[in-house]
Amino acid sequence: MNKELFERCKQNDSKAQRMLYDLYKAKLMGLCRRYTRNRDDAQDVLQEAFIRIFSKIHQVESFDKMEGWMKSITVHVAIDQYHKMKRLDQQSYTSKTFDIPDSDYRTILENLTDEYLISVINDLPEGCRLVFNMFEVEGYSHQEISTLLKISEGTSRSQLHHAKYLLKQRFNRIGIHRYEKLA
Amino acid sequence: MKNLPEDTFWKSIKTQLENYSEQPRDDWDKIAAVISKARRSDRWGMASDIFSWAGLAILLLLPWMNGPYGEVTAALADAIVEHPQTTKSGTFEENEITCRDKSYKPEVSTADQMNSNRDVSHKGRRLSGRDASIIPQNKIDRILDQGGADRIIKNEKENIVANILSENKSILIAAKSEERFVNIVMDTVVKTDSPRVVLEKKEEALIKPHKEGRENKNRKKFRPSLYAIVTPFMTYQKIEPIKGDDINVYSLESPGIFSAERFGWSGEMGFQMGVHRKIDAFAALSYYQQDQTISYRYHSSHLADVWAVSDRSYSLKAGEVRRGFGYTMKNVGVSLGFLYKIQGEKLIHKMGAGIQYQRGLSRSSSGGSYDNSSSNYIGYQLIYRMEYGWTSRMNFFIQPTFIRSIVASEELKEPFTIKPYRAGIGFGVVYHF
Repeated sequence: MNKELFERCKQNDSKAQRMLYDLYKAKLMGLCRRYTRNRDDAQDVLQEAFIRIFSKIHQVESFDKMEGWMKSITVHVAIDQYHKMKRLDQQSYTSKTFDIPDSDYRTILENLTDEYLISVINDLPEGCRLVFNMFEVEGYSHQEISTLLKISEGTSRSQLHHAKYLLKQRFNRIGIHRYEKLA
Repeated sequence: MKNLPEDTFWKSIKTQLENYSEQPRDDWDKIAAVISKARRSDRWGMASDIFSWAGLAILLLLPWMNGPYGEVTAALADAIVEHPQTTKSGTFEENEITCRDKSYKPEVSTADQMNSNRDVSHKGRRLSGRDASIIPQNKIDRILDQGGADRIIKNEKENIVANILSENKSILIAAKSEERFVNIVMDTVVKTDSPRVVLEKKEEALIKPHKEGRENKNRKKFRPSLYAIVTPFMTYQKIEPIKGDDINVYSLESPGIFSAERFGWSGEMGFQMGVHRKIDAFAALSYYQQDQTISYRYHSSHLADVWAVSDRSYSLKAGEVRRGFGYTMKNVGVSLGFLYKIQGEKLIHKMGAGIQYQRGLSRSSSGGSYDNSSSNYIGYQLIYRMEYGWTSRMNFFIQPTFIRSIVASEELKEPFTIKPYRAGIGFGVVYHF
């Protein structure tokens, strides 16, 4: 079914494109939310990503590669957005307090809502957020990140380190003091 | 207590983030609109490419299509057939002339035949209703219900600022990159206006830069530009015999379609300016130079050999003469015309048309039958321009051009008149002020 959908999208069938959009919009929106600092920016990136996906879908050889390719396109659009917004960017790092009891980090993480986790990621400085997502979640290497973000590999490493440091600080406030499991 | 490596922690985070999904707003209509526009644009692009290649092919094939000297001989042959030369006592040996040319079909000259949406949506987002809710409406209403604006401001100033800071954090983040907006909001809140004015001022602050941007863009689009182009040309002539001069030109010596003897060049410098979203007008001074020799053979009754066949009959044979003259031009003039933008942003395709007036400067050497300095030409030009954005102020372009004289007022002492035409591919630059 999805394979057929993919083929129809390659032939610019607008109904198939709509179906593909409905099928993947939530998943890709989740990705966009990680790369942007708010929902509206994510919505913009998602829109641009789908435009790019539909205009270049004929480049994808097989259906099996499509989802990975769509994610990659979305990440690239988010990176483009980052470059565009870079000159305007004045980072704001605000914190929220959550009343979560001190406990095992696993319990804490399990009780953390996705929204909270996303908001923590969103609050990271722009560069740190991108590097963290690309390295930790998408699995890009520092070399690839440096090329895509037009920074040095050293900067990429230090951004990742800083991102983790900031995240730890945030998690520290909600009760994760040590990264170990309580007996 | 058992220690776990930090990696495990980050892996948990990764898994949670990786699987995160969120239902977005349905923007399908916007996406569909852009896709269909792109499809249309692709079709136009393809049509434009076909058109440009066809145009280029026509320009290059023009010499073959016209048969530069073929049409001349044909015209002359016609003249000979229609007006056979007669004398009182005999005829020319017409066979020599007409038989050769009868099979020649006269040819007709064909020489005059050749943000993105995403950016928009982004801007739209900034002006959207979400931004307008910097202070929630119910709070505004509540504040207004409590009394006059001055007292509210006095009492609620801190609350309002606190509201802005705490309740709409994302706005604050966005706003921090726009110092101007922050200042307006803060000034408004702290000084005299009611909270509603905060909204108005904010919208004004956000709308104004976009308005200015649009105006700047328009100014940019319609700004004048200076351009210069150098064009090597291959030059040809349409030659029409003068009837009733007792001279039959029966052949012209063609130097070959792409002979170096046909080479000429022109330089043009002028201004162009957008007069419409897709139309540029241009005006330029032009210089053209060529150095060509036209050679031909003719029969003349003045040089006829006459001999007696019998007592009362004579035989006449027209004298055959070969002649050449220098067709050297150094013209200056003006060009006026329009260019229509077909498509493209970085590589812009334009086609255009214009008229050109040129006057000769070169005085003929003594005895020359063509005096360039007394000659005037009015012609039309057809242009196809491919303009590439080199820098923000400078564009480079390649321009196939065809120019044909409609009126050629020449000082030419030859048994025919000439209307020159030429085709070439020029290279130029445009500088935007």
